[in-house]
Amino acid sequence: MSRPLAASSLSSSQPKSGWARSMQLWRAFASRHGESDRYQRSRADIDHLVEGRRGWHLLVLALLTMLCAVVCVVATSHGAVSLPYDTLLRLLALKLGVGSPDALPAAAEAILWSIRIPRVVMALLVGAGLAMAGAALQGIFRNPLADPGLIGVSSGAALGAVFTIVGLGWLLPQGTTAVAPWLLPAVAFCGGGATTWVVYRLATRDGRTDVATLLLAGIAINAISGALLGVLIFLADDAQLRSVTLWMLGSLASPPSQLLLWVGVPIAVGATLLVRHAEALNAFLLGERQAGHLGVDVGATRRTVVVASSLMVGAAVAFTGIIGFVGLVVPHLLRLIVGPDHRLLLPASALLGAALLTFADLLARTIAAPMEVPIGILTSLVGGPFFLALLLRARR
Amino acid sequence: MDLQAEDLVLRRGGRALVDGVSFELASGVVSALVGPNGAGKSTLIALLAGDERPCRGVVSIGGATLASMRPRALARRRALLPQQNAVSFSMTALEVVLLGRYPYHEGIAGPADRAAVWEALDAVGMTWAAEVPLERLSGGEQLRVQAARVFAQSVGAEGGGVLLLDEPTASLDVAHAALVLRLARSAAARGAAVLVVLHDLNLAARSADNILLLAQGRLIATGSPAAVFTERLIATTWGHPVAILVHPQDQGPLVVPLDPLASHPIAPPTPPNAQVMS
Repeated sequence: MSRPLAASSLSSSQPKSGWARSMQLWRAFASRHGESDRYQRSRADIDHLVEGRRGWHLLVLALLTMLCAVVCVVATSHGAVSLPYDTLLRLLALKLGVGSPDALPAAAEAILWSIRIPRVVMALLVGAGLAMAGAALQGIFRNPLADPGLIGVSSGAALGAVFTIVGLGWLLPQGTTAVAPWLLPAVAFCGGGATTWVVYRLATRDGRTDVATLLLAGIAINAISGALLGVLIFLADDAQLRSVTLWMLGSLASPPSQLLLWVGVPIAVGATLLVRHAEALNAFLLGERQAGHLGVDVGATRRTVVVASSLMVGAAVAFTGIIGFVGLVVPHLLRLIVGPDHRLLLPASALLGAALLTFADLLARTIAAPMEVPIGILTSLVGGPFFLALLLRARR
Repeated sequence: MDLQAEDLVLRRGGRALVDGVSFELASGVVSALVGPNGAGKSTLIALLAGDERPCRGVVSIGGATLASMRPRALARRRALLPQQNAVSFSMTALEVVLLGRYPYHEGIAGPADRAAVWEALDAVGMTWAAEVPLERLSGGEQLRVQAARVFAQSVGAEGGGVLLLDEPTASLDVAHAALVLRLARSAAARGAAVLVVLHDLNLAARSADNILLLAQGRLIATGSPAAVFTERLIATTWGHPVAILVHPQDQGPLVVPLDPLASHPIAPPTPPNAQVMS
């Protein structure tokens, strides 16, 4: 079979020496078999590659942790009232019982511990939660465009929040925040949980969940929530309308520090569950059927990932409103750089999401100080074009 | 490890896709599942793998029914290469094959896992692609990587395990098709019960000890290639005339499709050395 091909390629060329002829024959053979630029790897090479991945994982996580730490310090220092780094150090020392409070600016201590730090921690938690949940949902649905909004958690939370502002606003004319600061987040969280549950139930029959039905049910439930949201907005008065709009745009404005626990615990629980399923998520990338063949309990894994993600996103959205694009862009960007292995992707997404949202919040409260730009505007304004750039680059 | 299928029935939309199929795959034996398009070959594979639950009948591996086994324990006993394999998010060949060891480790691949991965990649001649994202490989190369994942999964399976390959040669050239079937043969030598779905009857006759002929959801013939591949049975099952010659190397049946529209009669039985036919 190879003889006629080699002969024809020889006959069309100039007379050659024996060595050149044999090289030409070899090249014709090699290019036909595609061996020219290919080489074999030994067993030690493969061992080396597998071991090398672990080092690479640690390096990436260390770099992202450093980035996160730097952003934290900068974000703690800057704001409506600036706290220089030496002041930060002295305040920290004071907290540890070293040094004296003399010569520190008035109120610096109060600003740091009851305004700046809770806000930075909130940004870290919410950013980490949104990005990690986004990474996990994209993995489980094998869809780079999956985001927490898709399974109804955001629109459900929005419905809960707006219902609290408008509906309960009539019952409690002095405003719900004055009565109980936890009421709005609580109702929003329940709203997010309820819609996710409805979407998931609709897609499950006989214990089997159909992903296509799940996504379509998500779209339908989002549309229905949107309509109900419209009704509530239509009924709202001007002051309520302003609160509703601001909530929808998202804000990390100084949360009372006791509320941080209510954000932190669900996000930590969700993150733990997701990390434990990282390798199963990797198997999902081969396809659901293939994951099942590899011994992954497909139904249980999908249930856990959906519940954990909506827990994290529900907790985040309930306290901060809608913050778009973090859950979509961060995992996408990281996948381009570090690959799709969820054992690295999940923690890396959490770190980069935390750093990114803390930085975005720093911008939100400083670019138009003393005014605050709603953070949802910033993330979407930067995230949208960035995502488009990624798309166009990937198509090239 | 042996696999028993007893009286399997699967109905979808009032139509029986698999209709009362019983057979046994013995350890160390390579069986080929053949049949016309739509005969129910892939459905039968899905039943054997536990993807689908039969409406009636039982599949058991090594005496334990599929339903009684936890997913991970099942994955240590049976490996399956499906017909369609699409990988999301540009995984590298190495990452794909490493996942074949998922049933055997807790998150981190140990020395035995890495050895199995290298062995499988080397066997299909794809070690060079370890770091290449799968979507940059050709269709045949992707199939070889997926086959390597399945072979890596079957290494160290309990009692040799069960290996199910659904059209593993579909996008492979003649040399690589033979390579994959040789690997199936060596898995059988380690004690695996192997079932390969094949469309090429000659490939089936060369590579399998045992042929299962499926048509319209029923098992209509089983036995050695020489016993199953007769002109009459193939012609009636596929609705296409064939001639059975004698293969010059192994003296087994050589199936030659004939032109159904040709008016001249089929040539009389050919003597064993029939090179003139080509």
